[in-house]
Amino acid sequence: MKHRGRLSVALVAAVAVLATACSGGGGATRDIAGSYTAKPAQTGTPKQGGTATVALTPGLSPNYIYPYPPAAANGTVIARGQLWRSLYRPSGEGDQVADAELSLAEPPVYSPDRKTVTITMKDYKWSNGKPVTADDVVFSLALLKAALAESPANWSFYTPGQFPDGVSAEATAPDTLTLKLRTAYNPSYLLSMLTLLYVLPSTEWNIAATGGPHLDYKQPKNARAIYRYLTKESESQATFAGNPLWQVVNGPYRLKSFDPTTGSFSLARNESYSGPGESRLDQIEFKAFTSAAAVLNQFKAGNLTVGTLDSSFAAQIGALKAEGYNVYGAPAPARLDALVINFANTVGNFDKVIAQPYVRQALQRLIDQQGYIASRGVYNGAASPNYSTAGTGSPYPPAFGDQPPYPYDPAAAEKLLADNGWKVVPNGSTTCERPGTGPGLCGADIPRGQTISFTLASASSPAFVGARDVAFASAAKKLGIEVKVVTKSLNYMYANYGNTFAPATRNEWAMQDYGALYLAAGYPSSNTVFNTEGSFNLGSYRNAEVDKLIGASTFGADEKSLSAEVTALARDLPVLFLPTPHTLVVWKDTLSGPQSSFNALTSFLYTPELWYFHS
Amino acid sequence: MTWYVLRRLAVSLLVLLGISAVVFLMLHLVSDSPGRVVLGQRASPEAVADFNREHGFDRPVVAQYVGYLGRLLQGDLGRSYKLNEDVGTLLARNAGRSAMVSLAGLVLALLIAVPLGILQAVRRNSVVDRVATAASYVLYATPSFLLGLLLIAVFSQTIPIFPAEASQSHSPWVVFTDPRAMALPVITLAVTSIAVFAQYQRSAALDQLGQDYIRVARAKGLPERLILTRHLLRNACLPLVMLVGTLVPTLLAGNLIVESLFNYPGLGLLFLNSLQREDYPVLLAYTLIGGVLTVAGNFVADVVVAAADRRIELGA
Repeated sequence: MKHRGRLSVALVAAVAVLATACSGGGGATRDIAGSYTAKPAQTGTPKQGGTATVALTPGLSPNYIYPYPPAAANGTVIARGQLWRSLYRPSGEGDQVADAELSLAEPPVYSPDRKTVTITMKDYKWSNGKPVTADDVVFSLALLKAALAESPANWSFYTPGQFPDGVSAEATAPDTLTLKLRTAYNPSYLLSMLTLLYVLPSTEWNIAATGGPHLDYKQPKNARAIYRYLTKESESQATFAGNPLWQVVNGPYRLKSFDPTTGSFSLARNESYSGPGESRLDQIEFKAFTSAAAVLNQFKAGNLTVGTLDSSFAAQIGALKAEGYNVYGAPAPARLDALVINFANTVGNFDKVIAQPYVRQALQRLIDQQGYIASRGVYNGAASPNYSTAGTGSPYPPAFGDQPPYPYDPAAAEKLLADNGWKVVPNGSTTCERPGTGPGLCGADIPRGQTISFTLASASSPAFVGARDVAFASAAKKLGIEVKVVTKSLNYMYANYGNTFAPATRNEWAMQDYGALYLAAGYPSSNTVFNTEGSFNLGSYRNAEVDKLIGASTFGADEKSLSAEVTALARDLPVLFLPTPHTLVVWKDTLSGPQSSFNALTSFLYTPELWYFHS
Repeated sequence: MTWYVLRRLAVSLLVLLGISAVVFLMLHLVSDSPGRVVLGQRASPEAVADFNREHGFDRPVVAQYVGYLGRLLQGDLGRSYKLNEDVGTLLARNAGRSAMVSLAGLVLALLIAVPLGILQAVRRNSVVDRVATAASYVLYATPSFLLGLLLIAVFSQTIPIFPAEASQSHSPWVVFTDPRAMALPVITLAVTSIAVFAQYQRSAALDQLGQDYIRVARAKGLPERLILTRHLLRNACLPLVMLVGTLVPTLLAGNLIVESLFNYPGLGLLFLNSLQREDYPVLLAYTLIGGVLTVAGNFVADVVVAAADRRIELGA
């Protein structure tokens, strides 16, 4: 009896330990977002020194060092922007195109016809003490062109005929760069392109072989040879930290070590860095992880200083705060989650049906954004509603503000269909009963008895993608619309579901959801994405008015024309808009810095030179 | 014995050739144009065609396979599309880590399961036997990711005895001399195996305990300890040897959960990531290695069993 009693006590104790261990930090879904939306203020008296350990996003460990990896290398670049700065630093908060203070140059000055741009370099230095000059920018542009000459796929922001095509650069003085443009660009659009131009050392990297002669990179042939040499050197991961080439940097840090097995690396201060920020930290350790669960475990063990938390662990925020962490979450700027529509899919007359704006409007009204956000099975509270291509908090907001044109309203969706000639059969099969064109009729080429049935390709990860697609299909079914959700791997979708590059498979998908689509955070132009001839126009969307507006935001003089483009797209629905999940940033409360430097982590832009430990 | 080994070796090589052909063909069917996967959505059709031509993907599949075999014979496993690294280097880097944790888990499992199984057999239907059997079923039914999470929650976060992360060192010696860091991953791997091995061992030992040679040994008055260690153990272990031989590739594949949970990159995770990224050279090499390990495991098990039981060779 005594023995049994001991056993019972031991069992109860074991269960209690397990229950305590497994329960940490749970919270009600509706309270989750409220626990992290306030930005923690910059605090404390800065201390010199210390090492910050930063968690890399699982699955995104770096494997390349040259800032422009060729497409065939599929490179994830080490410490992007920290070793080599771009000419203009993208704004981490997405409220402007570039962060003027952190940029290598003063804002560009345009000629009246916008075809000549003069750029004055700031007083930055390379790690070897030499100044960063306009020649370095000319060199960088030459290497970008060389990459594109090898393959247009080598720079994912490239549209044939646009930047850097038709752009010539000349260093008219050591600190003055003049760009001559064949076509005038919208200043904001050009600036967004220049935020992508990394400035590389022209006097150390202008070689085509180790110890080889210095070449005139202005000759395309030489630039190509240099590019090939640099990309070849970047294939040797074991030499990333030891190769003297990669030690010449203009950013606040230099690479100290790199572990090819894991992708973890460490950065040491660039003592010659002359830009803003005190660079108080001695070292930054970027640690690679195999899973989001492993990141969470290391946060809980207190072994990480900074990182992002997978939104599926949002319920652990309370526990992390109790462990001494700050947590801040927000949607990444200009992140767009949407169901991409294939306007060229002819299966079951889908192209005819979806061409009708009222059908798209009805479908958008079936998406319960607030419901998805609140659902534990979808976003678990960690997302924000979004109804435009600009994302949330953009400097180019749509004209309708926070009053979306087609909010969730199944009754309105049903009315839209009924008013346009459809016999709505809830949970059955809705059919067109009044064919023809004109008010109250189904629309051009839609025959009597036509149903609405289509395939939605849904990415197999992350989990919320499948959940939201199933929720949408369920809502559609209630209106007699059949949505067949098929799960596909992200890579399969990337490779096969896009009419610009895979026209043969256009009838395999009517809609697709592959998670996030990112536009340029500071200037979310949909050039290439939604213009008729756009190289990334996956679903063959066509709208002459939108083409005109995209042209204005890309080539026009009015920097605010992007708002009109964003508004027109939100109203015409080239895609169906879904909520944007939050990026959750976690950092120890013993580390501080400007709020913007932590907010920028939602865009994965690191500025550790602004951080410091405090007592 | 030599003839037996040579004959098994020849069969193993044929099986491997067959595996390589089937895997190559299947991957070819899944993606006959790797250029699109490699170059991405924005690549022009011309660039994709150029890539496929440069890498020989526009040739007939048989020619591609023969070319692959030729390179394979020279030790060239190709280059990863996605990881900017030679496949051979990738596998070499990760295989050691995977082997280390798998081997440690296997050894720990065997060290516990073999005596436990024999103890259960000897004390058949006792309380010890029933408790051990029930525990085995529970542990066998517990998913390893759940077990790993529980171990972390209890022994790393609630009672911080062990770190939640496996050793990040690449040196086997450093890892070997830091058992604390490897404790939780090794225990996670071992526990499920213990459950299987112990029940297997118990069943085999029960079979042997009813054999005449055990009765004779007992009738001769041999001490029970000698009967168990000298006679029973050797014969009761033969089925387990066969089982362990076939489990070698499974152990590597099973590492995926442990590698993922304990931040210990190895072959399992490399395979999963390659699958998600459709990195075919890595998938092909990994599957081939899985085939080699399966064939090698069976081959070694056959030879060991044949050496232990001469009747197998004669009957073969």
